[in-house]
Amino acid sequence: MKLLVLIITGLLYHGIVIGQETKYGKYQPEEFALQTVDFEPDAAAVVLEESCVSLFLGVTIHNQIHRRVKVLKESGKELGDVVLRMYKGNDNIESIQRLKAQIVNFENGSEKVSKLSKKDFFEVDTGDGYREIRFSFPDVQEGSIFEYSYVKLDKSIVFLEGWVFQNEIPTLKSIYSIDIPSHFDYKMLKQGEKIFKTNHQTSTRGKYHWELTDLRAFKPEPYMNHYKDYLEKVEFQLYAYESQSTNEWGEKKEERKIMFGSWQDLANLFMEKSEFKSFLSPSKSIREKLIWESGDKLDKKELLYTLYKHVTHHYRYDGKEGVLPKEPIKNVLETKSGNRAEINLLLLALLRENEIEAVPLLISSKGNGRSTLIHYPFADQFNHMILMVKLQDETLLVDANRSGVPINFLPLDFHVNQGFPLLAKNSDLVNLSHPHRSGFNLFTTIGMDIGSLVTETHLRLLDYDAVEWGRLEEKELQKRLTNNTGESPEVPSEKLLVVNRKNDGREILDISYSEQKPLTDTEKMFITPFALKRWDNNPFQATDRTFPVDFNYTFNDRYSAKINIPEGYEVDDFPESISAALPNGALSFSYAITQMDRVLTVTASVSLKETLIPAVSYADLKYFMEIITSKLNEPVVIKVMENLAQQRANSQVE
Amino acid sequence: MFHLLKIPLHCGVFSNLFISMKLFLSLLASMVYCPLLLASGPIGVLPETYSILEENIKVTLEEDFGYVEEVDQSLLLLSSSALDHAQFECLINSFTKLLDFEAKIINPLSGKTLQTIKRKQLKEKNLVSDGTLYGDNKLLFFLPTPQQYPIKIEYRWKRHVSGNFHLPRWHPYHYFNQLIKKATFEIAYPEEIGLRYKSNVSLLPPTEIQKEGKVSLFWELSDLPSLTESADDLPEVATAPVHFSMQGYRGNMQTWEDFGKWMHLLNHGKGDLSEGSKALVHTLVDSLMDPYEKIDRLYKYLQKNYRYVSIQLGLGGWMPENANSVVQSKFGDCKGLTMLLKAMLQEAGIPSDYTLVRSGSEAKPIDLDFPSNQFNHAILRVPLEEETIWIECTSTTLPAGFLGKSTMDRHVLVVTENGGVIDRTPSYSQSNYHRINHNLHLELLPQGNAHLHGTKVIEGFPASTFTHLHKNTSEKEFTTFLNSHTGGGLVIQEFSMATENEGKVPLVNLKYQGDVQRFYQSTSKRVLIPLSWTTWDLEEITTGAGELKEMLIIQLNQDLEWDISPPQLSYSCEYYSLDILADLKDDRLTIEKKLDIHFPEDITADKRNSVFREIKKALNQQLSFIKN
Repeated sequence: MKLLVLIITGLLYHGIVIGQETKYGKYQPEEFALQTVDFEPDAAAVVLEESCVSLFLGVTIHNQIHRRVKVLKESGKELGDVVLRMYKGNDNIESIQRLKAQIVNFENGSEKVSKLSKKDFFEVDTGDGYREIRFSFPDVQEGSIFEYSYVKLDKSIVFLEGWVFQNEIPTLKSIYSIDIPSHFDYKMLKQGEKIFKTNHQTSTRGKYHWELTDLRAFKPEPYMNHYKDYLEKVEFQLYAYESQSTNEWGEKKEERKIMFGSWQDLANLFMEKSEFKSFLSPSKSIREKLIWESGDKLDKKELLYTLYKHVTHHYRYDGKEGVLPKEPIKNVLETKSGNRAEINLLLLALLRENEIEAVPLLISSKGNGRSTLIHYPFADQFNHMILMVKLQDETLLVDANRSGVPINFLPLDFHVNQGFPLLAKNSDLVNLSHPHRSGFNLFTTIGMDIGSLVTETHLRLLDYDAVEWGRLEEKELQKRLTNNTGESPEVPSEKLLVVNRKNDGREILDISYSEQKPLTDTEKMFITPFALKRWDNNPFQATDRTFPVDFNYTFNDRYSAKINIPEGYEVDDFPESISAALPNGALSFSYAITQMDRVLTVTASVSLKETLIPAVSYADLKYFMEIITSKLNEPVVIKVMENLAQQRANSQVE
Repeated sequence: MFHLLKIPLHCGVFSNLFISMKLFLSLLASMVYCPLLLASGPIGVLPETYSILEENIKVTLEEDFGYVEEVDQSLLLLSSSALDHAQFECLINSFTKLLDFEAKIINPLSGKTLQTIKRKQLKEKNLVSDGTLYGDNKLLFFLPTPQQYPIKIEYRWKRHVSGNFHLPRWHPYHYFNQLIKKATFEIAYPEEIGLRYKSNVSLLPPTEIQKEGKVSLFWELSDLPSLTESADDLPEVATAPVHFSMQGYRGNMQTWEDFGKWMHLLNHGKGDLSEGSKALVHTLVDSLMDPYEKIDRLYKYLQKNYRYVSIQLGLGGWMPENANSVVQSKFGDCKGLTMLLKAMLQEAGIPSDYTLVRSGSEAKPIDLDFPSNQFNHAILRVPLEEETIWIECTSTTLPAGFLGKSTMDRHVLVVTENGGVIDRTPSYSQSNYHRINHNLHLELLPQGNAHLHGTKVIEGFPASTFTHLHKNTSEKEFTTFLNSHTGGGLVIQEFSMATENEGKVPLVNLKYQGDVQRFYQSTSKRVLIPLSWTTWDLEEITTGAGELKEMLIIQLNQDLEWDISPPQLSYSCEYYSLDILADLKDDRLTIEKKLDIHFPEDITADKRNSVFREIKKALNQQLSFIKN
């Protein structure tokens, strides 16, 4: 969110120009010589050096940016197409000036420089206030070095973009300097690992300087929400400023003003906006509409569920994010649509009017690039508004923007540890928990009936797993029930019994079916006890990993197969029992087989206790998953008893 | 065959071309296009009507080859679900201007106008498709935010297009869940310019009026029910001029031959090379005798030294950039790169033809009976004495003579100096366009693991995928691709890949070695080894035939004997033959598999998938051994 500050006046140009480490257009022999990047030898291109020097000029910040890139492989030529993005809004909030760009190729012992001119730069209005400057370097070859520099002016100085030290290609050196005038007091928001280990203080007060080297490229990996949560970066939020005023006697007076001195100030700032107020204190005529007719006949929990269902079914989420309502409650009621904050605030108004306690809760979802909240009242940390609803014995976190999703199941990227409830007083960050007991529980009974193998399968999915499976279209559901060989359960879909039930806030989905398959060999049978698994194959194929694995939610899976040994048969062989866990205990697995009379019971469990597995544990995790997926595929061998087999053989001879 | 979801609004552009990466031809056409293309949500599941539409469209062609389109639309929104239906969007560019615009939001009960929106209140943004650096198309748009329902919205707009290369196409239906109360389409044209149209069977012929040298055609439909799912026979009228002109370039599109003449006119002089470039061509090819080798050499030079960058401005949407400009910048779009290679081949003494194609693996075939602009991409045809070579000039990895899935097996318009000629690109249905020969040597290690050395010779489409990925992803990403597309549990430690195209067929030689985690299962009595550990991406075989061979040699390092008889399968049917042979000698197990697929052209996707399931079932077995 961009907040404009136009209230600060009388500020003068401040700061000392900090010289760039690499001079535009001057190249070093080692830059031409560089052919690979030590820490990413397969990189197609590399940022040799980039820098941003941020200086204040009045109420505008000038970011002098310079980036130099070398193409190392043919596939890196595409980097020669450059897009610079800015937010103009309606008030020219950001603009790009003094753009220059050039490319150099080292040919026959000399530098061949091609400079881009104004006609090569295209400005594109991409909508919603955003614009891009696009350009393409000519003659990009392996070994080319291209660079560009520009000044990005930013009038929004409450929240400073700061600098991201990483790129989609590796970066050898990334430098950021900022000179903050003494009348501004900014708080620093840092993220990453290297940034915390880098000394950024200088001998000059208010001047900070970071120089990070050897930064890996960032790319999305499976089982993560967004790499933005892990980037090395620094941002700033204005905490306080000094202003000068002259009183009626001509005396100058300096005053220090704190932007948001406390969380309560920030909460008030939000809640005092007229649109917001319209939800918190609706007019009498609207309040009458909010009273639920049969509300007094329901207990609070039933009423909460009813109102939640009403909002999710009858109000359309327009897909727009944000923490603030843009329309008053009247419009939302009339159009039956709104952004996330508006829909949730409508539910809040309904709840409050029907005497259920609810407060707006701001969160920073996963992928918002704010993995840890800063304990300062900074509005820009948050990107979603949901609700915190208090019943007598429990607190629920609620988002009323997804039709068909039960009340206590937030989107998985909303599973964050902290949030900011907007209260009338004493607002502060609070810790959040997301209680659930998700799981994939499979129970099968396997037996033999006149040359056929008969399998009764009962799959019970719990909480998040139930929510996910419960939203599947029938075709997709059949696909999920399909095994590795592409065989679907041989039952017509109308005979596939799917029962969705709720039990005290828990979501339970039961799926049952039976199959009968002819046996090709009745002398010896290889029976795989578990036809369905959470994973048929190991989901981790990459050899290594840059970012942590995020499973998003914990679960406890149970598998149980009861194999009835037919008369005349005996168990010949079965997999070994094992029990294992990752070193930190985040993931554990057990597999056991017992035989009682003519029943062989195979049980297994997979339990994930931590959603986040660090990248350093990836190799262990990958191997562990291989053990789980292969073990769950191992067969039990049943064969005809030896004396019976002998009898059969004799009868064939005769 | 019309499909609602692919129909743009009465605008004369090709919907499925609009988002194409290599788009160029359609960009120039001004249009008011259909937001339906972007629609998502519960289409097909909600049977009710969200809105009711009345619409009159009048198109007037002028003697100077421009035309004016006037639209008068009355829309009754019944609920908030119809909000998308009220969206106005109009594409403008150097040829298209929105002259007038007015929208009124009216309370249908009282008849009172609640709001009037004028031209200056429309929002504007650039419309640059993915893969294009810059284009001069802009979108004017407006989305009403009614406060109540039902609500009536009246739109009136008029736009002028200075050039009639594209004429509007009439689709009365714009959205699902929209009832069409009345829809009219009138197109008037001077007799000397002429007009052709094509409507589908569900439409009656238009009313025709001739007056003072002008002809007017008029269609009217009323009370069309709202739709909840796509249909094949929706009413539609396509129009195209006989004579046309864009920016002074006059042409005729009554026949493909005439259409091609106009394209040739646009291309005139674009293939001139500087003396330096000519000299370079000779340096590259003069030592070669075989024409294909010359083509191959020049194509490889283009692939290595030039890159695809698309900038579409004005007539540049159709007119290639001068070959010399491409040489200067070392980049170009499909037209520019094609023109450059054509010029280089010309210098090498090999004539070739600039060719227009509708690109896209899912693109509908062009309508051969209706010569008009139906293309979105340019390729090169090189007719040699004994064969024709087709070249995709934007690719950096394909061999000369192999087009890939997005332009293969379809009609194209070849632009010759004598005009346009329809030709067809190859279908690549022979098995050498999908052939894999995989040899694996495994050594079993304790705990179910194994060490693996493999070699794989891949030909045809899968080879082009491998080459593309190898070139355009990092080593780490490519290793992950190999891990996941070779067999479960593989952790590749080393690999090398060489692209050794077999003439016009992509060919890749892959060598790798690594460990396989949990390759086999071990119980107290047995060892179980998968008959087919490797991943066979059968679904990739879409071109008719495929051939997969695999030889797996496993060093067991333990004394094992067959538990159950070894599989020796030799199966042949209408669509495929599969041979499997497993043999155990000493402590070495050999598994040979050979699959030949030969699908007829008209096989359905369902049948193909059921065949794949059958094959996978046959392959999905465990070989069981008793431990001695």
